Amino acid sequence: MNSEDTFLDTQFAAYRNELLPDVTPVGPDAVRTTVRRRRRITVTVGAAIALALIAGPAVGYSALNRAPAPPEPGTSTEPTQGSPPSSSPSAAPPGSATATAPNGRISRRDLLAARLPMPPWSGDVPCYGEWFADAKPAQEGNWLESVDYADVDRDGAEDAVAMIGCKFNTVIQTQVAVFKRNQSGNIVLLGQVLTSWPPLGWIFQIDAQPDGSIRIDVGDREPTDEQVASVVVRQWRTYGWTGTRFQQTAGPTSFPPNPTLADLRVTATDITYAALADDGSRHGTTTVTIRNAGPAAAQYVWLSLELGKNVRHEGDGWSGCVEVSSSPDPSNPNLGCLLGPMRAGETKTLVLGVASPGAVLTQYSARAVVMCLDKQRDPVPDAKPSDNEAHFEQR
Amino acid sequence: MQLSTPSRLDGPSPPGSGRIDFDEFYQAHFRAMTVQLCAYIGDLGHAQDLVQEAFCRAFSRWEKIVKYDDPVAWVRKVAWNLATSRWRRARTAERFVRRQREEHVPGPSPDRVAMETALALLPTNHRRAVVLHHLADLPVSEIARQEGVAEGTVKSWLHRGRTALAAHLTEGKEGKGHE
Repeated sequence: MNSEDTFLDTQFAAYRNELLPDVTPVGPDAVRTTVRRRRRITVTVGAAIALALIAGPAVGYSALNRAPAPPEPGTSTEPTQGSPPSSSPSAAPPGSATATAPNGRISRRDLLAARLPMPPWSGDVPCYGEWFADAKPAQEGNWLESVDYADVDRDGAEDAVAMIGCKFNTVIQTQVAVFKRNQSGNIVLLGQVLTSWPPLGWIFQIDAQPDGSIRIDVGDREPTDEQVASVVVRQWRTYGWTGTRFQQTAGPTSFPPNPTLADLRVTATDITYAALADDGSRHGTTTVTIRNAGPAAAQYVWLSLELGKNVRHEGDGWSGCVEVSSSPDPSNPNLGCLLGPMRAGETKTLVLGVASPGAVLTQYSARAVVMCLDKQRDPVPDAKPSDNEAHFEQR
Repeated sequence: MQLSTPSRLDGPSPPGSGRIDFDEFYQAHFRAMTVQLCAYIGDLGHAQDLVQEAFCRAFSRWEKIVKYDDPVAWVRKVAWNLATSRWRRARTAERFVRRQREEHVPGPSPDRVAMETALALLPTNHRRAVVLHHLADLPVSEIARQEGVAEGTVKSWLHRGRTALAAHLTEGKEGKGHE
């Protein structure tokens, strides 16, 4: 062992000795409580799946989330903005195909056993592969949530409408896809109907109709333990097969504004740092524009800038913040600015100075995130989360 | 439906079963694992959350994990994976807001701040290797296994990480000495 190793071992030993007494284990009993609660949820989902297999229509998430009974088609809470219900799904099936189309009522077991071409997930989703599990994985992976049946492509044979989930740690995305059997009897993908990608926040359940259309219960956000269920706006939307792809044929095409929520939006300009100054840092600014598009006012707005390790705030531009903070977390460096109330329609523009130590930046891509907080400074949902962050560059 | 039998949700393993008791396992490793992860991410509260989550996942499949040669390695890997998950980072902003309102406790010593600052300056791979080697006492072969890279790569990370860390710490101490 060289002197460098000895030096570091000494430093780490001191670090360990100082930190150990500060660690306060929640305890193994808390582990049991957490696992017990999760298992209760899993059992609920499992029972719902079992019920779905018996009853036919898929009700998995419905049971989990205590959803209301599916409304009858055409009784959605919002007027249809898209094209009227298409007649094509209910049109007579092509006569040539009906006689020979293989049975597409693919059992759940067969779906699970088949190595199916997975329709693509949306966005930065780390699920892939040609396989999904029977139940939601504890950690990560694809799983088959529910299956329903209808003659979606009107060839005279039923097709399997599958609701598939991707779980990665605490994040879930779901999608609806349709599988059928080809002339050889192999299970193939007919097409993807939709994914729970913004502006959709969640897919609750699917309900395949005798006329071949697919009704899907969607929400504008993921239901969580931290928010009341009424915050989630839910709608039934209907989709049909055009012959080449799925297209919405009935139901609302957008979510109505939630009068209790603010819609924060943020943009930020690129940062061009000046040459290394005498203080050993490079200095720059970004102009951040935050708008509350309403309809509700925001009690507080929290702005987070992810610029890189050890980047610090400087200058008068931060004086508009009620509080300024910086995160010590080197895995996700933040500068924070807590802003006061913003009424609906209000825009704030901040010219924020930053300094990066050394000549070399630790990262070139940067991110600005805004979040609405209530009077107690607890996070509250945003009317449109997809525009709550802006990516920009620094050089 | 895959609903496995709950693994001793309500009590320790039977006496004389010859298996590692989950409670003892937790008590024996939680603190050390948290310190290691804190050195990597620089946030003690966050590190505790991640290690607790890793133990939850271990408990869910304890019957299987307890048979592994090194159950500690499994839990540590899960905790570190959680720390580096890009998806999990999406929730960091919310956690950060909450942390701003937490009660303040006596601050860390200058040495601890210096160590965390110096570690934060290292590239991620180098930092992981250094922390795992010096705080978790893992040999190069085990770090290589955890990271899924060749031992030579770990040796390189360790060499460069240690040199840079020692330099940062030394600079910091000399800087203070000149004040």
